[in-house]
Formats: sequence, C-alpha cells, structure tokens
Amino acid sequence: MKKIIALVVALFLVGTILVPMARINAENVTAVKIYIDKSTAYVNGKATTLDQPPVIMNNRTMVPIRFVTEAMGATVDWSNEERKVTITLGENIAILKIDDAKAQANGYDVYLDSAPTIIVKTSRTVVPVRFVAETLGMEVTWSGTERSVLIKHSPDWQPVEVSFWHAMNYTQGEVLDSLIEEYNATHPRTEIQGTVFSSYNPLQQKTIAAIAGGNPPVLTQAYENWVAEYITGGYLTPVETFVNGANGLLKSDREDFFGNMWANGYLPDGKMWMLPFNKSNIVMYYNVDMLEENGIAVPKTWDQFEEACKLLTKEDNSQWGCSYTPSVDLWYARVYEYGGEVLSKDNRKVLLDKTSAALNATTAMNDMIQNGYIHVTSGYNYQTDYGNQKCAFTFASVASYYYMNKAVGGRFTFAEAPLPAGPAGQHSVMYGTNVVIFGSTSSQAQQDGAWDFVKWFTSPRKTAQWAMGTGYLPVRKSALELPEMKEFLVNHPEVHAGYDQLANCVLQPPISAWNNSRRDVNATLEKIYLGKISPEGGLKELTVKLKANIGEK
Amino acid sequence: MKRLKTIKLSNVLTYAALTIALVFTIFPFYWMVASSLNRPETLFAFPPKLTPDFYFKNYIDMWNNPPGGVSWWRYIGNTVFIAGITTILSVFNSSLAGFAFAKLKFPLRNKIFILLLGLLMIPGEMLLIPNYVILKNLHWLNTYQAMIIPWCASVFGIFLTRQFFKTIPNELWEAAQVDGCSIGRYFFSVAVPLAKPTLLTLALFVFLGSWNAFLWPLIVATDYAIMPLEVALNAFLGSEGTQWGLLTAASTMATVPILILFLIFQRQFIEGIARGAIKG
Amino acid sequence: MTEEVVLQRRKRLRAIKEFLTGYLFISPAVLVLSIFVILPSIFVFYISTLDWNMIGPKYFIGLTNFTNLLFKSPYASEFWGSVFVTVKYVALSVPLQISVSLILALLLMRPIKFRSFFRLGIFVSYVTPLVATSIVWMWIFHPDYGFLNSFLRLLHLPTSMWLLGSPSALISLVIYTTWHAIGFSTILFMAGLTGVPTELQEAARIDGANANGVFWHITWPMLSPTTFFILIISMIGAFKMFTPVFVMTRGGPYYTTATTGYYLYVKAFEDWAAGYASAVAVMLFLLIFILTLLNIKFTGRKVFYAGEQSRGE
Repeated sequence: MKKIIALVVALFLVGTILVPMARINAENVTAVKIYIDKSTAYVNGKATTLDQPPVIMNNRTMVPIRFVTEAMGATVDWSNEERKVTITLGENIAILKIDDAKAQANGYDVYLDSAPTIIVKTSRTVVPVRFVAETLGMEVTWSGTERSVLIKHSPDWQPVEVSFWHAMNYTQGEVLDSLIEEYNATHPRTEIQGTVFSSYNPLQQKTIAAIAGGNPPVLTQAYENWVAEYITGGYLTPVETFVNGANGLLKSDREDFFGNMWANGYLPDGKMWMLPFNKSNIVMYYNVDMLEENGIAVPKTWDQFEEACKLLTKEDNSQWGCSYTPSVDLWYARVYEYGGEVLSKDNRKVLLDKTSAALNATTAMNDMIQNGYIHVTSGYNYQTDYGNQKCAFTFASVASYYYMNKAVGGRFTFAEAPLPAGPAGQHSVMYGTNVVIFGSTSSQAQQDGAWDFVKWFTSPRKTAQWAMGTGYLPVRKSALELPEMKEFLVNHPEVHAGYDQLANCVLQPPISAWNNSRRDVNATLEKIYLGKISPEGGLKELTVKLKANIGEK
Repeated sequence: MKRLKTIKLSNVLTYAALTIALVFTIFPFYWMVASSLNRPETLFAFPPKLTPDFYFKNYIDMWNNPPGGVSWWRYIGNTVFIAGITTILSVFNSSLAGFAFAKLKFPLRNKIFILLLGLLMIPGEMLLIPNYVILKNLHWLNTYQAMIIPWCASVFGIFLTRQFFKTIPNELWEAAQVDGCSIGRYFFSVAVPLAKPTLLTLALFVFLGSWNAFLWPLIVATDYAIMPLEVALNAFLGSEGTQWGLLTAASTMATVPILILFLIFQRQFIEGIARGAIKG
Repeated sequence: MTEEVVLQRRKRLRAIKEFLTGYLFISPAVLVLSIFVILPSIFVFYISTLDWNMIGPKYFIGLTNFTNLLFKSPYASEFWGSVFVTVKYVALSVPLQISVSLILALLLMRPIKFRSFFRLGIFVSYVTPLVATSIVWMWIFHPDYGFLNSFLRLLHLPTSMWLLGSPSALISLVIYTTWHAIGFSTILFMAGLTGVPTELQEAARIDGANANGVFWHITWPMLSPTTFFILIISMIGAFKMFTPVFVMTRGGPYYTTATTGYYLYVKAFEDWAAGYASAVAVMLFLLIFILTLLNIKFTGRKVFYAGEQSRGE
C-alpha cells in the first residue's frame, strides 16, 4: 500500500514539473532581433545575414520584405502592375503599396508615417516593421539603447485580453465600439474588451468596488478627482511610465496634445497618471431659428444673455429664455469669468470668499432664475424642453451634440456658441475623462496592450474620427489639419464653439476631496435656486463645507 | 314576497371609502401598465390620456436595450437563482435550528437562543460596511455567494420554526425515541412534514425579501452579469432617464412575477404578517 | 444489576447523541449568523476608529469620527440634518399612516361583501419591489409631464414641484411610503382588532355608549400595543429608509430628503469614507436600539426584522 502511494506521489511530482515544461516548449515562440544599419539579424539566437540592413525613415524602422516573411513564416504576394505587396500570416493580412502611405491592415485603411519604398542601393523593398508585425499579430519591442527591434510571434498565442471600463453610451458608445473593433482587428495580438456603464457615477463606484474586491479592470476612464483616490493604494501605473517607455510618445507627439489637456493628466504630486481620452467643454446651445425670428443676436456676454432671455420668456410658462439643469461645472466656469477662483492653485485654500466674484456670479444666475428667465430642470429634461422649443438656450457639453440632435429631431436649426463672457473674461470648464492603467492586478502584457490602444486612440487620425463621430474634442492639434477634419468643420459650423473656447478652459481641482465637494456645491446651488437661502448665505455655508472637505483649518 | 334590503348610509360610506382606498393603492399599477403601452407623444400629452395606446414597441425597445449589455433574461434568472437558493438554505437552516432549540437538550441551549434573539435588535444597516470588508477579505465581493450566504440564516426564521416545533406534543417525540428512531430521521420524516405550513410562510417571506433586496446587491454586485433585477432596474433608470415608456415597461416586467406569486399565496403572506404582530 | 447499567449507559449515550445532534443542527445557522451578524457588529466599532477609504492604508484616529459627526461642522450639520429629516418624515408619515390604516381596518372588519378583495388590493403595494414602484411614482410625480400635475392643471389647481422642490420632496416621499406600507399596518390593525373582545364592546353599547364612545374607550386602548408597535416599526424604518430616497431624490434637493440610512450609504459607498460612515452606522444603531428598548418596555414584543426589512430597505 505504501509503495503504491509513493509511486503515485512520484508520478504526480514529475507530472507537475514536466507538464509546464512541455507547455513552454509547445508555446513555440519565434524571436527575431534586428539592429538598425546592421546586416546581421538573429532568429531564435541563430545569426542570419540580411541583404538590406534595417533603416530608419521618418522615425520608423524599415526592414526588407523577404526577411519578414522567411523569419516569421509569413507569405508574400507581389503584384507588379499595382506595385502592391500582400503579406499573410494565418488569418492576418497586411497590404502595402510602394511609395503609398495608405496601407490596409486586416481590412482597415491605415495611414503610415513612412511608406514602403525601394532602397536604390540594394534595390530591396523595405516596409515599416512595426506596422507589418502588429498587423500580423506579433509583438514588437524597440530598444533605444541598442537601437534594436525585437519581434516575437507564436501561432499558439491567444490575444492578450485587456478589460476597458467606460461610460460611453448611445452614439458615443457606438463610435467607441467601432474604434475598439478596428483596433482589435488591426492589432490581433491584443483584444480590448469594453464594458459600458450607464453613466459616470456607477463607473466610479464600480471601479472602487472592484479595487476593493481585488479585480479592477486593466484600463478605465476616470476623472482627476477619482484618480486621486485610486492612487492611495498603489493600484495604478502612471501613464508617464509608458509615455517615456519603449513604445512611448515622441517629443513632437507630446507637444501635439492640446496643452491644457496634457496638463490635465497630472496630479498634484507632479506625476502624469492619466492620458486625456474623451475631452470636452461646456458650450451654450441655442435655437438659431428662434433667435432670428425675434431679432436677437447670439449673446456674447452674460448681460446680453440676460437681455435675450428676458425678451424670450413668456408669462404663461409656455416658453422660457433658457432651460437648464444646474451643475457645478457651469458655476465653476462662471466664478472664473467673474474674476474669482474656487480653490487656490495648491488646492489647500478655499478662495470663494476672498473676492466678491463668486457671489456676483451666483447672484446673477440666481436672479435670472428667480425672474423666470431660466427654467430649472432636473436630469436630462432640459433636452426635452429644448427639443420642444420651449426655450432658446441651454448649457451642455459639446459631447451632448448627438443627444441634442436626437431631442431636436430636425424641427429647427440649432448651433453651439462659446459660453457668454463675464466681466473678467470668457472661460469654459474642461470636461470629459482621462484614462488610467491599473498596474497592481494586470500583467505587463495587458498594461502594454492597454497603453498601445490609448496611444493609437489619441493619434491624430483616430482622435479626429472620435471627435467627428461623438462631438468630443480631438486631443491633438494636428488633427485639425487633417483634410477630413477640415471638411467636417466646414460642413458643421455649429460645432466650432468648443474648439474656439478650448484655450480658455479652466480645470477642476484634481484632488479626491473635490468628489464630494461637487455634491456640496450642487446642493448649495439647489438650495439657492429654490429660494431657500440667499446667495450670500449659501456661499458662506459652502465655504465652510469646502474648507472642511479639503482640510483647511 | 319581496324582501326590501335596507341600504344603510354607513354601509354606503364604508364601500365608498374602501373603494377610494383601493383606487389609491391600485392606480399606480394601472398607470404603470398604461404608460408602458403608450406612445412617446401620448406620454407627454396634456391632458393625460387614461387609456393605453397598446403600443408594444416600448417593451421591444426595453427588452433590446438592457443595461450593461446583459440580457434581461439573465437579470431575471439571477434574481430567481439568488432568491431560490437563499430560500432553500434559509428554510433548511432555520428549521434545523428551530427544531433543535425546541426539542433537543444540549448545554447552553437557552442562553444561545436568547443571544440569537438579541441579534434581532441589530439593524442591517450597521452591518453594511463591516460585512463588505469581511466579504472583501473572503474574496467574495462581486459573486453570487455574497448575495446568498449572509442571508441564508435568520433569527426570525429560527424563532418561527421553534415556535411551531414546540407545538408538537412531546409524547410523539418520546415514543419515537423509544422505538429507536434517530433524531435525524424523526426530524426529516415527522417534524418537517408537520411544519409544512410554517415553512411555506417562512419560505415566502425569505423569497420575497431576497427578490426585493436592493441596497446590499447594489454595493456588492459590480458585474452586470450577476446583478439581480432590482439593481438592473436602477441601472436602467440611469441610462434611460427620460424614456418613461421603457422605464414603466421594465417596472411592469419586474413587478408582475411578484404579483402572481402574491395572488397565489395571499393567505400565507397576510397571515404571516399578522402573526408577526402576536406577542413572542 | 447489569441491566440497569446497560440502561443507564444507553440513556447516557442517547443524551450525548442529543447534545451533539443539537449542536450539529444549530451549527449552520449559528455559523452564518456569527460571521455575518455577530462578527460585523463588533468589527464596525473598530472600523469607526479609523480614517480609511476602503482601498488605501488605514489610519487610527480614535473617537475623532464620533466627535466630528456629533459636534463638528460640517459633519455634525450633515448628520444631525439627516436625523432631523428623519424626524420630520416620521412626524408627517406616521400619524397619516396610522390613522388611515386604522380607519381601513375598522371598515374592513365590518360585515361587508368582497372583504378579501379589498384587503388584497390594499395589501398588494406592500409586496412589490421598491425600485420598480419608485420608478412609477417618479413618473407620476414628474413636474412637467406626470399624472399628478397634469391632473391638478386640469382642475386649475396650483401644481407642485414634487420631488424637485422643498418641502414637496419630503411630502412626495411620505405619499409614496404611505402608499407602500398602508397594507402592512392595515393587516396589523385587523389582527389587533380581532384581539379586542366583542363582549366588552357589546357590554359598553348596552350600557348606552355610542359608536364613538365604544371606540375611544374600549377599542383604542386595547389596540395600543398594536398602535405602539406600528409606531416603533415605522420610526425604525424611517431612520433606515434608503431605496425610495436613492431612486427618487438622491437625498435632494440639497439634502432635504436624506435620511440617516441614506446618509450612511453616501458616506460609505460614494465617498468611501469607511471609518466615518461606520461611526454613523454606530450612531444609527444607538438610535434604533433606544427605540427598540422602548418598544419592548411598552409592548413586550420583540421587533421582527422580517425578510426585506433587514436588508436595508
């Protein structure tokens, strides 16, 4: 009996060692290393000579076609008349044309930074290695110190799964889903799996609950004040690690992001934890027809706005100047427009009571409400009023464009305008979320996959596609130079406002205390607008609350 | 010979008052169903239309746009599963314990029972946070067991079953013992069948409580895939805030099963409530 | 002699078996209750001494959370505000609920036809899920397109902002919860009324008392345990009330409908201030405990947290 037990135990031990070993061999990975300007390459450690050394063109590493195919087992089909080459590996297909920057990856058009070309000296055709390798499902790693590229591939690989939690619904969700689909198709090594939440509130809650439960996603949208909370447990990998890493952003790319959006990715500790993802700001939506009929020009200041609302408000409650669901965000921008600040730059002091700006801004808005020029709504009911032409103005994010479009249903022409200016200038508030990557519970491959996705998503062409489809703003300045973007802006003059006022946007405090402070501001505004407390009284209460929230003595 | 029925004023008033009360309690259900069958234009029309349009598209749209991309079947299934398992476990645990407290002798029996009774004074809300942390440490957050296990034993259930088992005459029990019947067999083949009405009432209340539970599953279920119906409804409210046709359709769908259950077991429900008021 | 010994041994064995079976039988329930009721009851006191956001490091701060919520602005104003909201809610809803359900119970006890039909209809609202019915009432309360305001407008009566105004939001909640619970208290009153001996009522009537006198001098006093029971249950329920607040008003406008139960949730699971929220939980427990003691003292009844009530409704 004892002998049988010993035998079984021994077999078991052997098995547990052999099986994983067998599995590693069965992984069947081919690794190829190439060096810039060197003709020797290494395939699984064995040296081989290239007739054309890899070169860098337009910041992209180019390699001879034959090398790609032979080393990795891909097949190449060459069409002479079209000067087109089709590279196939398994189910993945990359199609490139000589001297043409447009290529196809698994059915999608891709614009290359560096087109395939023929090197005169060796009459060899070179293709961009990263594009080809990624399209075929391989892993590409660049080393700046060695000036080398390591390409790995295995036919046994399953895509790296990257969970992505977001709150993009309706049109925004459709566009995001199609972009995720495009990324997954053109980058078969990774599979981004999106999970949608009905709005930002549940997204934030579920994320923290998931962190507490030990299984947060790899990638998620987040506002700055949420992220301030997430980092308290060391759960995130700061985005700057990736920005400065092997698959990072060139200096020109970094500077191509809109300045205040890029700055938005930083937390007070000086680290860049987030990457801007879906950014927007608040604009004034107006009914073009209604203003024309009443001979009113688009208001550029709050005084003009009040005048316009007064004219448009009817006694019998059938029409108001403006319908609006009060929010912290518009109030925040207005405080700045009236020359004040909410918190000090170091977020340690409340500045609401230091000047009369906040009071003036709040009183002005409150007067309009008490006079009936503004109809206070809740939730999305302002869209219903707007669509039913019961008001001429409302305030919402540029990203609400398609929702507003649906509410309007083609009944009238509508457009966006920058927020009216206050005595101290014109400001709007930066809106929309960034993305963060969880490091404590995700593998390196998952994190790299998540980073590659957001890097691709925020590239000029893709951010333009995102902006045009959803109403969000592109995050790259160069996106505005793209022909499709230019055409879009020409055809849609009604969406210029968000772009025009972008430089004037203020950012909300990126501290965790701002989260419940927003709720306190909202509650105070509710109280004031319902006439239960005067603006002075309300702001006094609010100042006390904010001081306690941020821990100011 | 004709008999004249005297119509007393007090009777007329009684029926009138009761009818008004009935209208008050039933009207929201009627309005829920009627609104779910109305076109969007009708919903926003003035004066309000009392009769439904029989516009079924709301149900189709609601069914095709579940929150979180998870089918409504799944949400219903989750609720049935969670409520069902909780009920089975709870009835099992409570009847076992109730029987033991009623009929078996073991040291500290009465002291333990009094301790458990004392637990009745602890409100569930106080335990939300610590239970959450306990689940977190068990790695049970965002699982089905998180919504089942903490609720599969209740002092109320033990109390109820103990009360019943005490009514079984001791002679029956002693006779069985003399016959060499083991405790277990006595319990399963004699005590439990006798307790069926009580167990049914208990089961109904546990099932109802689990079906209608909201706060706990809200904080514990992060994945849409395991959410019960009430939590899914709340998420639906978040994503379809102004689509009242769809919202009322979803509410109808969530309410009808319970209404049916209630209509079948109305006597047990009502008696159970009444009994809860009798001196313990 | 040996027969006695054998009998004694058999008896002892049976006794031991009974001990063990007894413990075995109660173990599943006791295990679950120990882990999920007894343990957390003690654990919550520990957490209330921490400054902790659930996912980061814990900082021990002693009784600071308690001093904050009891005395220090703005925490104290939030906490006591929630207590005040609950008290206001109780003051509005309890007399309404008790009087209406008592009247209904009295009417239902009369010799009428269709009694079970009426009783059924009145009770139905109690068993239906709160979220589903809250959504329906939100629609009914909608200030622009809801049934109530449309109905008022038809009658040329002033409309209300219902869930969006103050104090109309709290009144709306009172209406909703009364609608929901009326069946419950009616049934309880009916059970209590059956306990009032009819001989006493008849004797009083023979002595010349009219219906009013019978009610106030016989029925009402004999009902007082039931009445008090409903009073206490309602008050406890009011402090804990969560779901209708969460779905319909989110505690608004400006916290005027935030009950202590709702406040606890917000602090714990939206602000993730686990330590402070635990202190609120302990205070909530104390308030409810006092009410429970009063209940036991005056009626001798234990409070039953049947089914849904223990889940934080």
